[in-house]
Amino acid sequence: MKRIQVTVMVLLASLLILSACSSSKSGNGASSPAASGSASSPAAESTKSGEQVTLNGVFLGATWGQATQELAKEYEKETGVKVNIELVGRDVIYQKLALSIAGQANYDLFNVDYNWVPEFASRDTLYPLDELIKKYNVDTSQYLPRALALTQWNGKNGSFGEGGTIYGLPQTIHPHLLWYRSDLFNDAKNKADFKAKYGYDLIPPTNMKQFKDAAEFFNGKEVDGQKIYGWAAQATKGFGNVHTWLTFMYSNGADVIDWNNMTSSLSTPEAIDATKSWVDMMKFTPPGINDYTFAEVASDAAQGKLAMALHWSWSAFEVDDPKTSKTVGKWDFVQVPAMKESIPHLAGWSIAIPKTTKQPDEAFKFMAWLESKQNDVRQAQMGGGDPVRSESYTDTALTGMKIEGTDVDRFRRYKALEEAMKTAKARPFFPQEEKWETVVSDYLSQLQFNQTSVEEAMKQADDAVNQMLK
Amino acid sequence: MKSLKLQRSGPYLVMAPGIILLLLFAIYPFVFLLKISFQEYSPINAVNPFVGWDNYKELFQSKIFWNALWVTAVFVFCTVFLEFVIGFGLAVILNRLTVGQRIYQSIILLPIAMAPTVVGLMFRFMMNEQYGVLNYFAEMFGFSRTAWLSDLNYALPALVLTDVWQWTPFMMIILLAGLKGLPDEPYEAALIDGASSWQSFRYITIPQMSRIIYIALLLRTIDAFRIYDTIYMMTKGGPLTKTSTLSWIVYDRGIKFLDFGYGAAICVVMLILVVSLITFILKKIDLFEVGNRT
Repeated sequence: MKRIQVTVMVLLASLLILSACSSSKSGNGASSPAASGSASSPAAESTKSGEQVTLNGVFLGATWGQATQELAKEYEKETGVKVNIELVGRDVIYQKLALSIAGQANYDLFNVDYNWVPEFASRDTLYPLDELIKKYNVDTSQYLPRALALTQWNGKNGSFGEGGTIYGLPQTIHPHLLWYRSDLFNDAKNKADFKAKYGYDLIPPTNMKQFKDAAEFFNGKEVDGQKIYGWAAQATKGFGNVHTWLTFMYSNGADVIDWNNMTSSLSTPEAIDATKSWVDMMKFTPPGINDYTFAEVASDAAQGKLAMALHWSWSAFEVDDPKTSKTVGKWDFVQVPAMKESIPHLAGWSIAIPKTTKQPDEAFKFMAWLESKQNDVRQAQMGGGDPVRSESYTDTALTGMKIEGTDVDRFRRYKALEEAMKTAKARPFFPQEEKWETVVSDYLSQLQFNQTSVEEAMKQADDAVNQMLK
Repeated sequence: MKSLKLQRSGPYLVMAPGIILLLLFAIYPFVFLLKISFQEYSPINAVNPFVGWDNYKELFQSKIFWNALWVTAVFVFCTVFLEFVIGFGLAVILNRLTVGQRIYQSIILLPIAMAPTVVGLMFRFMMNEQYGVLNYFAEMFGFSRTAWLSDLNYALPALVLTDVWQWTPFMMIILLAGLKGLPDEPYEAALIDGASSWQSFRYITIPQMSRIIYIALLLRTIDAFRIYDTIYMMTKGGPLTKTSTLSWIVYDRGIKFLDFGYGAAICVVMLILVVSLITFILKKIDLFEVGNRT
């Protein structure tokens, strides 16, 4: 009897543990009504009965997700189509997309980070949009070529920019830009001191030497009663360090994969050189940098703790908000410093339709409306993100906007942004990108903590990536 | 005859709903977990082929797994030990309080009511190198600022500290309930025999509390193994792999890439480890030995 009782107790206790293993799944959408795949959900029923069309979408809980939520209300007024937008974090979208596809759930729209396009498209789970684009006469030539390229996949690894089936419409792009404190760079004393020390004029850095010199010059200086640091960028393990490092890599002519042989190419002289520059530049960043996500970078910039930042263009709204920022109007933006050529890492979010949707036409019509000329501008005005249409960058509704209470242009970054979008390069465009980032991130992290040499870390990263690619 | 049969089947009928629910919500997921641990399983795969022991082989060959096992062991030991010592201390103090016991209890219990994600976020801010309140006080007392969560030496202790802050009250409340139930007679007898407070505590309180202590340790050990939310909010397993526990790598190396098969294999190994530990503790408690009650 005692043995049975002990067994039952062990069983019950182990179930407690099991609940930890199952929590991620249930916590990521399977429990939500829309994700349950129930055929009796309002969306499915109303479409069938013809009374009310309801679309269900999952968007990133960032400013463009919030703008989408607001604009969806207008869409309902205009068309009668109700669009429910859930705002969640990046990881949750990814898992929700996968689980909703597996569970045939009633989701019609997903905000997708572009590296998921090859992954999900290669498994035939995203709705191809070319037919709908023709059917509804959407002119895709108006989108920035590199923004549209983020939504395309032609089935070949590393094919960013080579065209292919369109699986989404771009919603926002944000390449890396070099942010610099124009007030500090234009300060007469700083200029004189810099010239005396380095022998040339203090200007917004255009190459790595100037970047390093400027970072060194400003690092540790006291400005407005507080110590400032040379620069900052995302550096946290997982993806932050990879995203920053990629700009160094691309700007030195390195690529991370040899696409012809599908092998890792992190040990090339260009890659080693770029990685060494990145590691070297970390000397001029704030303490705790290894924990920095984009939020910490923006926060430090807004609090006046940085002279420069290598950061997403879109995030600039955070330093121009008079309610939270001490540096309103003081930041300006240029191309990332070149080693061989200025090639920023490009980030961007698109909108895609899962193949499991029961109303692809309605979903597409909403997407096309949201990314129309008018709403691309409106999203930017609402702080949603940087526009994806070329014409928006010269639209006076945006270029004429000032920061409230100042005569500083709100979108002064657009000139640099447009230039950046001519050379910006996406993360490695292939289905295993998400896993690739995690693998590489581990080795970059070791470099950040001086655990090994650049050569050794890159060699080990090569081996690990090649193992993953097998 | 018919009524006798019905009478005999009564207990089974009463238990049936519970057993069905258990099968549905506990046994089935477990069997499913076990099954997919032998598959290359992803929810978006058209086919999920069986790969035999491949997931387990990959797991046991991975440095990340062995590191996670070590980090988990250190984390579980440190948190459970500290929570027990502090929790027991608080329980003894509260048990002796004659005034304001309920107010103190309510205040001390507050952390349990908070979601681990909120606690994680709160401590992340508090431990921030530049803006964190901990560094503010550290600087005030002449210490230098520390980037707790990105420092190789401090990240795991910071996580332990957070867990201890949140879950010590849980330990305390169980132990306090035990202390309240202890009879007075042995203490009175000990007093007459001239025993000191320490001797009473060591030779009367501890032995009488042993089962309660084991249960408290058991529950907290199981829970400490499952830590995930706090890691997600505070360190995401870093710096390097200093805070990568087993439950973290289930997510970080499995679920995150929809590699559910590999994730399931980690879960199964984790389950075996915990069940072994639980079995050991349960045998130690001797919970069901009627004639051996203290």
